[in-house]
Amino acid sequence: MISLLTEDMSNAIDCIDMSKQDQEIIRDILYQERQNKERAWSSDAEKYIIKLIDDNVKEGATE
Amino acid sequence: MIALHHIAIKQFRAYENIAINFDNNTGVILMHGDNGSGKSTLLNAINWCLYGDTPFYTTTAVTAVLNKHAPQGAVAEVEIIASIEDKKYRFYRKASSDVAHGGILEVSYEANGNWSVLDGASGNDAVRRILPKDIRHLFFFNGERLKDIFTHNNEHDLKSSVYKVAELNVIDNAIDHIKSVENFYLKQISQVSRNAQKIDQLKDAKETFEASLLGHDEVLEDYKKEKRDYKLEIAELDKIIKDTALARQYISQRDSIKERLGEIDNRLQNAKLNRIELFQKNYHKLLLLQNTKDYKAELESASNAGIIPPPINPEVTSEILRNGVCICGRCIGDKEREFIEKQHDDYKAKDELRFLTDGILTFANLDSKVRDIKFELTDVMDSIQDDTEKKKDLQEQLTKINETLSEIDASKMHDNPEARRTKLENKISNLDMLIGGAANNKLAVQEKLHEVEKDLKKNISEDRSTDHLEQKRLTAERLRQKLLECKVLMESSIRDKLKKSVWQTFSTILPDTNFIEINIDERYDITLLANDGTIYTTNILSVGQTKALGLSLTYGLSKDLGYSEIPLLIDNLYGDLSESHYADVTNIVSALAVDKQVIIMDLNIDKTESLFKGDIVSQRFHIKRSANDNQTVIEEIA
Repeated sequence: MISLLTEDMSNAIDCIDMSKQDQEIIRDILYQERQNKERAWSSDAEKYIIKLIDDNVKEGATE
Repeated sequence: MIALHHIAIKQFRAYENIAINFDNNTGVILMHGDNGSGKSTLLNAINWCLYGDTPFYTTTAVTAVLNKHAPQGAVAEVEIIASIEDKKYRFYRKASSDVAHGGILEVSYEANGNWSVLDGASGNDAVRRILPKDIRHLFFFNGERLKDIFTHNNEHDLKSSVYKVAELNVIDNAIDHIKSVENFYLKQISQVSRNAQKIDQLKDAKETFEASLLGHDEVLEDYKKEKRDYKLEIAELDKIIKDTALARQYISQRDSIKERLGEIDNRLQNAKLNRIELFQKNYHKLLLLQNTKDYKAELESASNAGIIPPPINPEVTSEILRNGVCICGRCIGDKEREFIEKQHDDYKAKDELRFLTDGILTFANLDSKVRDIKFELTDVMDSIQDDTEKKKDLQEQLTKINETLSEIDASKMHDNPEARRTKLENKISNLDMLIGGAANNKLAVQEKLHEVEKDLKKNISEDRSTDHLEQKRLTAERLRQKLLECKVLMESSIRDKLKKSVWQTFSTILPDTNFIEINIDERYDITLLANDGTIYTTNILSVGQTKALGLSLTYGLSKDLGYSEIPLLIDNLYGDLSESHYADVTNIVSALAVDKQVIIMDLNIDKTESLFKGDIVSQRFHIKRSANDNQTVIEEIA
């Protein structure tokens, strides 16, 4: 099976200063982008990201 | 480790039916053949099997894959057996003349000596693991096109290749998508802000309409009040008109009564005068009559008793009666009384009887006379009494009329109340029109107000704070920035790796030059600075040097970016190369073949094989046309 992210991607995400939450979202987004790169999925991608951010902001709001 | 083990081709272009096996997982496999023998077709067959296309042909018609000498109903088939790690996969694609050019792929894997077919998604995943389609040009290529890597704006140039191999384009796509999400939030924020503005505008509009409505109410109230006043005035006028008519009627009655009273007064006055006159004229007669009647009664009484009353001189009596002189003691003078008394004795004896007779006759006449007088007096008295009663009635009526008239307020009497009334009715009619207009205006304003209130309610229900949206937008922006940072970091790392490869290659192909600095710019143009100040770019390289550098970069990309295990399949590696650069290219290929399979297809196997040192070449094949020249065959050379 295809790995979640390339090694360089994982390294870069680990090296950049950001919160764990942001890291998780970025990993999630990049994984989906890799999975779907061979098809037109811009509309779905935007919906997916919006959901991730909405959930994230909601969680942040309830904390 | 990824390696090809078996390739079988049936009815694919010039291949009727061939099968070849590769024994080793690494090393160079040399395949030589003349121009047109089928080398490129082999490359296409492998591409077609894995990806369903034939990038080394210009046409995509199904006839491009089906053998033109194939029997009716035959199908083009390509089978590749490869190993990924320690597992074997079978990639099999077939296409008949009635299906599309891409045909149908079937992927299976070996488990316990049996082949199990994978579902579509898992099959595609296995293809990706062999070699992702978007970077296949770095592994399956025509050597003559290696220079494309240094030509900008094509999908095989260095930047595109780096982006595909390192999957920087994945990050770019993610950045683009997050940017779209930011725009989405911006639009929402803008919409919410516009909504807030709209709410303010609607509130202003509502206030305006409400004020306007109040204004209309005031106008309407004024009109209605004016109308009420006019109606009251009309009611008053109606009363005045009625009172005036009544007063006129009473005045007429009063005048009539007054006239009748005057008549009655005149009549009464005359009657009273008549009565006085009559009474005066007949008073003595009546008095005498009364006395006479008394005397007669006395006579009759005396006669009945046998007593003879004192006689009365009939002449005197007649005279008295004629003259109307009273014979009673009260109104007769003393002389007359004396006279009568003296005479009385003289006539007493003589004419006693005649006197009585006369007396009775006289009395009879007198009665008749008195009756006439009484009748006459009675008539007069009755007339007076009637008129007096009538007068009394009329005076009572007059009193009532005067009382009624005094109740009518003369000051309110109008000269021409009917005209004033008509004028007022016209005014009311005009007011009704104004009221109708004002009511319509009010209704229109009410409708507008209703619409505004409805919009306001809707907008208020949709109203929300932009804080949450702004927070989300900022999150998206932050994620995009972080991804950009990731991309910069990854690209920097890749550049460093590329620089190393380029540096090594340039040092190899230009061994007499001492390089001190290397730069790869945004467009991935490569620049090297030599210690003598000379600047070297890819433009100055010969075809061989370019090919060597291209191979070096391919090697660098495949090795440093985790694709070192993928086999290389190169057509025409030496095709356009001068012999002076054979060694450079061969050295690079040899280095690559240490870790992977490198299949090289070229014209002259003897020339190329002599270049490889040691036992790096593992197998040799000859691609050629069959005896009848219709089909391609591949023979392994011992």
